[in-house]
Amino acid sequence: MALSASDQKAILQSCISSINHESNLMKQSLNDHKLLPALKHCSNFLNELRTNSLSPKQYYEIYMLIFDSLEILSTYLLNSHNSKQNKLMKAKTSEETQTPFLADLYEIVQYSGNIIPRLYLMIVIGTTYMSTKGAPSKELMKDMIEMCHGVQHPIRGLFLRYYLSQRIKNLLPFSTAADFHDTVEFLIANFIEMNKLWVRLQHQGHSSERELRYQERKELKILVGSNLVRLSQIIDDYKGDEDEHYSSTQFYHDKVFPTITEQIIQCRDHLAQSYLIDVLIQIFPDDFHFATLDELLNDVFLNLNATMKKSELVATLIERFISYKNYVVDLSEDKGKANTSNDVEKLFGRFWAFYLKLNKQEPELPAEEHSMLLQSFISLSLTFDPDNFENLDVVYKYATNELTNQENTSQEQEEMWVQLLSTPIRHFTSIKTLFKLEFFHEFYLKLNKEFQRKISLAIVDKTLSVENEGNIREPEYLSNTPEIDGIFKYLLVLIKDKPVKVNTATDLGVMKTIKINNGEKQITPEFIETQEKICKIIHLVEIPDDPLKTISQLMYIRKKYLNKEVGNLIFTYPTLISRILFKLKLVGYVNLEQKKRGQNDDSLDLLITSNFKNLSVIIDELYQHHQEYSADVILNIYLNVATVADQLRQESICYELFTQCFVVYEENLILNSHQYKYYTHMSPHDVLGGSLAYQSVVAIANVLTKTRFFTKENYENLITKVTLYGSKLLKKQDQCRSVYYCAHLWWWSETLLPPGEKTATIESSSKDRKQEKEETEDKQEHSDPEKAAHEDDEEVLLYRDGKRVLECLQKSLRVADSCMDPYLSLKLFIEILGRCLIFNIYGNGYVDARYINGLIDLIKTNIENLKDDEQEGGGEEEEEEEQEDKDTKEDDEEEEEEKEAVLFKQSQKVFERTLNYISEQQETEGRFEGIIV
Amino acid sequence: MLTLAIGDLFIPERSIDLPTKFKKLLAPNPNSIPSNNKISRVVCLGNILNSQESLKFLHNLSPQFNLVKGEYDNSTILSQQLSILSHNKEEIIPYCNVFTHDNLRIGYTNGYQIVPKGDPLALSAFSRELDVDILIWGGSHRVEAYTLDGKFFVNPGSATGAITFDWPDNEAYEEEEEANKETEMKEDKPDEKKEEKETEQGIEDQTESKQESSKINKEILSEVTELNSNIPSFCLLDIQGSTCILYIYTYLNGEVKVDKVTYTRD
Amino acid sequence: MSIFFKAPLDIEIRLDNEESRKHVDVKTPQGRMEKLPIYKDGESVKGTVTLRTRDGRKVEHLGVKVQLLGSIDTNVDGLVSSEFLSLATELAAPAQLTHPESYPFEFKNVEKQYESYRGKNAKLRYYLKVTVLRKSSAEITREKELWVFHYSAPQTPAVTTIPAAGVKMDVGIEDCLHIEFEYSKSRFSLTDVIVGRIYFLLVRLKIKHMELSLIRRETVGAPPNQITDSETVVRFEIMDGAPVKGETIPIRLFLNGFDLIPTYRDVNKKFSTRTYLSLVLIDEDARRYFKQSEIILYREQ
Repeated sequence: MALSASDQKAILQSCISSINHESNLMKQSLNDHKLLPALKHCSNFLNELRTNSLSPKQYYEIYMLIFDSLEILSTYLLNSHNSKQNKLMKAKTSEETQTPFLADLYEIVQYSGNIIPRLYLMIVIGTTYMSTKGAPSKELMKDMIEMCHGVQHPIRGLFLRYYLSQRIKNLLPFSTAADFHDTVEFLIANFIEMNKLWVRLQHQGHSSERELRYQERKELKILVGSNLVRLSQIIDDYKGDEDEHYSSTQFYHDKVFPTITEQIIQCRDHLAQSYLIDVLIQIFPDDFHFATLDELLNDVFLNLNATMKKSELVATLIERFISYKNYVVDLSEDKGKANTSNDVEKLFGRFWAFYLKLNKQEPELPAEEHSMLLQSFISLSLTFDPDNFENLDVVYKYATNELTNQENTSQEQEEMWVQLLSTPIRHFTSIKTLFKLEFFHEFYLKLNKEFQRKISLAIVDKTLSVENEGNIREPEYLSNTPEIDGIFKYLLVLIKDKPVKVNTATDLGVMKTIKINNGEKQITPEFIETQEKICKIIHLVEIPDDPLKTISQLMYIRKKYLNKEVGNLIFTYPTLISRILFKLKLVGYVNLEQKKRGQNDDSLDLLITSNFKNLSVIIDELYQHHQEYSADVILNIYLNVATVADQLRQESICYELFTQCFVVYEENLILNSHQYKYYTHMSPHDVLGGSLAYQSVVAIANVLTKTRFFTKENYENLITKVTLYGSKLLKKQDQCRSVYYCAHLWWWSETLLPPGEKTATIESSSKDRKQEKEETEDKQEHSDPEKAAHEDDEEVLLYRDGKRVLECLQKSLRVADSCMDPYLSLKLFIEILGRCLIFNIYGNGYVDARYINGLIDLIKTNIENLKDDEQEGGGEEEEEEEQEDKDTKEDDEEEEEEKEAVLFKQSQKVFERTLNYISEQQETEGRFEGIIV
Repeated sequence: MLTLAIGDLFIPERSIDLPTKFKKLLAPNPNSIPSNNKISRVVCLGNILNSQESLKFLHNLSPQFNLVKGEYDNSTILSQQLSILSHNKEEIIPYCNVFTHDNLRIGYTNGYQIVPKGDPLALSAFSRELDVDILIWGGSHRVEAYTLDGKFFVNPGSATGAITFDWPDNEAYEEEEEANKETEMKEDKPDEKKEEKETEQGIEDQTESKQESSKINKEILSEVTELNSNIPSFCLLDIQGSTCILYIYTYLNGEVKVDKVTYTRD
Repeated sequence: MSIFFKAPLDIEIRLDNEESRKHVDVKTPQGRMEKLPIYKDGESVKGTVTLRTRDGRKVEHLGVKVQLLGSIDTNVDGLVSSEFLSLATELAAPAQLTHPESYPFEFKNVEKQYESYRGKNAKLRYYLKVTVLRKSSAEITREKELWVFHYSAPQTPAVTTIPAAGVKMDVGIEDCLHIEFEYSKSRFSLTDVIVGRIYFLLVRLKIKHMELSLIRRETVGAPPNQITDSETVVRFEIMDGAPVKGETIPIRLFLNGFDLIPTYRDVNKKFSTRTYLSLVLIDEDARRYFKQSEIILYREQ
């Protein structure tokens, strides 16, 4: 067809207008009851279907127009037939010899010289005739289908036969066995012929148009399939007449299947085969496929066009079976077990036999095909026989031995194997099912690392997934060594992962990376994510109700898996340690509770002690490899362990841990050369932040204030030491703040212990305590007798040394005073005032109203002085301030000055708020008596 | 519009993930950005622990995501992760921050640098330092909200119910003991089941763990575990004028519970 | 027809039961249709001749006779007519006619050897001829044509050399086309249907369509002075598009509706009409390939 698209369009338009014209004339003639002229017009518009110049789509367009016009004719004919029959009935002539009007007409139209109009007319009349009573339906059917042979042109023939099948589809007889057979034959015959025409279409025209033809054929495929659809319906509707032995499955197996598949095989056409096999699988019931499975696989699939992807066919079939199975399962919930299950169980075997044959027949089958096929088999096995994993192992064994032995497996091939391995992972509801597959891991090991990672990640994701088919579920625990090994052997590749693979993407900065270790190392976000997932898996190592066992399993995974790549310890160990520590905490609490109930168990004590030691070993390992950049993390870990150790009354361990903290501090934190920019940008006026060393001191202090079971001596050793660290910090503000914070170490504000428990720090030396008490009482006389009385009421005694608190506050005042920056000094004074108020409320008699008043005066004086200084700058300052509000400042120096002014103003405001607070408290709470605001 | 206060996720170090019910509640449209159209600002109190996925989840909840550094956060990594998410330049993760909503000034910080940690007077002093009406802080893993000295103090707790190594909350312990007594009758059955499971497992691991497990009294263990566990929680602040209605969401026994606390500045 | 000389007598030939008799429409050479009564072989021809004088004049005649004639007109080398049948009956003795007079006549069981036929170069007709003899030798005649059909019973064995059973033919062009066609029989009644099939054994031509035509061939005279005239009576498309090897195309052609005549062989050694069935294949370059074969047509009751 060398016609241009616009030519075709013009032709189409002229066809359409001609059809409309003739169709109208036909209608007029029919209105005038002039049948022969009507048929003439009809024939005229049918002639348009003889065109050779239209694309299938356009042809379809005119076909539809004509279809509608013919329906009008058909309706007219049916009506006039009926009225004629009625007249005959009334006349009671009942002449048997009288041939019915439609029969005559059927013959008359056959004089039409051109075959296309002739056959359409025959069909429209023939089928109309069939719809009347007493018509020789079967003869008509046979005649029409036979005569259709005359049209051998692919498109015209397809549409003609489609017309036949559309018109006849509801007229096909199947009430008796004979009728049924004829109807089936009819449909199959039409199918075969249509398929031939369809296939032939491919070879029409110039070879350069092959692709175009292919597309055209795709558009037409439904015409061919329609026959099979109707066939399936008829078989479904037919109930076997009187024949008790009739079985539709058997019928399909014996009659329908061989004919259709023979046709499919013989046409050797790729499109036809793939479409028709698909249709075959989709439209016929599953029982039929079960009955013909072996034939379908071995006689049909193996004999198809070599370019056909067997995997797609198999996948369609297996999907069909799977949805059937799911359907049956749904049904069987009320009906009991499905009866077909017996031969269904052998399904896998049948597919496998096919697969082996296929391999023999096509030794060069591409990896993709293997992979897809095997994936389908796996899905099949998992659906039909979910508890039998032998089948899967058969698959993986085969794959391991046969498929991966080729050297130089390509990237694509490996990708396919990844797919293969992923299939069961997606399918399993429990990842533990994987452990039953012996060869899965062997096969996995044959892949290269990159692909192993993919599989491993899939396994991890599945393990962690909390949604299963829409239901929220808890991830499953890994509670024994085989299960742990089962998962972790796949994790190993992730554990050993290198943070960044050096390739061009990273070099060019295309890949997103994150800098760590002070910018010396790069990691990818994906790497962090992977490590995160490993950590999540660590959470799943859990033996419910047995924390000790859980601890030993956690220790086990560390030794066997996690420490295989020391560079990555910092990503996984904190999680591991947290888990162990928490379990240990639980064990310890249980131990304490048991002791309380008189169930002493020395071996448990021992276990706890040894586990603390084991834990220290782990932390130490982490420290060895990561102290340079992650000392702060490790300090926190030590502090956590120490907290727990104290709660569990493991004093010596706890003491040792704090010592460790000090080691970490002194070795890595005092003068950290990797001061992250995040720690250095802060303004000294900010209460939070400060140097890493300062933060470390605060962290240690914060933990120490909550320890309760040191002997007083040990406790004081530790707190003195940490306070000393604070006082030796480099920056004044750090010194000042850490020291006033450390003041809290001498003044516990909360009991923390369970009711009835007493802290060891005070009990350890009752002498000290008495002294202490006396001393405090002495002081209290100075200040507030009410507070003292209140304190006496407290059942639990807290470690308090008001004098030392005061000393600390004094020390920080001195530091603050020694600041070169008067604004900073002022800021720190105000902060210390805040601290003093806290201690005052807590009832520290040493920090009394007199002391606070002194401090307030000091601050006021300082403020006045600074104001005076600023006055010297004159009104300029105020102007500047105003300007500052407008953000118009540019000059550096001025900005600096301005900054100071802002800070000064802020400090004044904080001071104001503090004073307000004091007076409010005086009014509402009766606190701060004697403090002059 | 609401402000979400959430923190102390500790993913993956101490928890696998947020409770799924929380996720669905917080992000009704998980695939769009923002994933919740009722929340105008998310205030995160840190301790996300470099979980990219969790950070993304929180970041995408609302148009504005404010984060402060938690005690265990690596702010180097965190700020880079955040910049990848927001496509903005890397920014320094602050220790605390302040914003104003209607007539209220709200400050937030993780609170680990406040000494003594979680001390009401220390927090009060800090709120004066920041000059805020509401102070949101975290780090304790226990949801709290109280008014002190005319200011409102809110701790949304840990959204994952992450474990802590601090002392257990002894007040809660007492309350729980009472609660336990009340529900003892009901819990009979699950206990039996548990025991069955144990015996099964006992058979499996007989050789290995019989000795060890015998040392631990299961009943005490479950009490102790409960005592040391934290309830997942977060808070929503609905601020209008000088009033803040605080909704506290907790996740207990598979159900989400909501409590309401109202604060009005004098 | 205008008559310059108006005959003084009107002759009317009326046949018995003429109204109820079957008629046939025949085309005159002038292209008009005329209706002629149909007679069978051996059927008596019976009727009445009525003579009427014009304008009440007296007409004398030397006798009146009626003839039944059968003649064949051929046009090979000029028009030649020959009679093969001539029967006569005297209707009246010489007399004078003053008022209309009617004479019944009957030719009993006349053998009519041939069918009536009007072809291009040959004509076979039967007619009644009434002659009124007159002194002045100016006879007055009147003719009336009859149409004769021969009906042959279908079961009668073949009169021909072509076997009555199915016809099978195997034709082709070397390495291009090889077809086999088959008709159920070779003798057809005129109301019959030609049924058959074409089987394609080899197709290397790009066939566009295929048609079946019926060709009537009239042969007049004897060699060497023989004239043959062919006319395609029917053209009927039986296939659209190109078949592939192994395809079978059905043939069905209803004959009833066409203007066909039976096969006549050497009618009175003067002429023959035969009908040929021609299968024509037309390829994409409009080349035609055909195969003809004779069929025998006969008229069936």
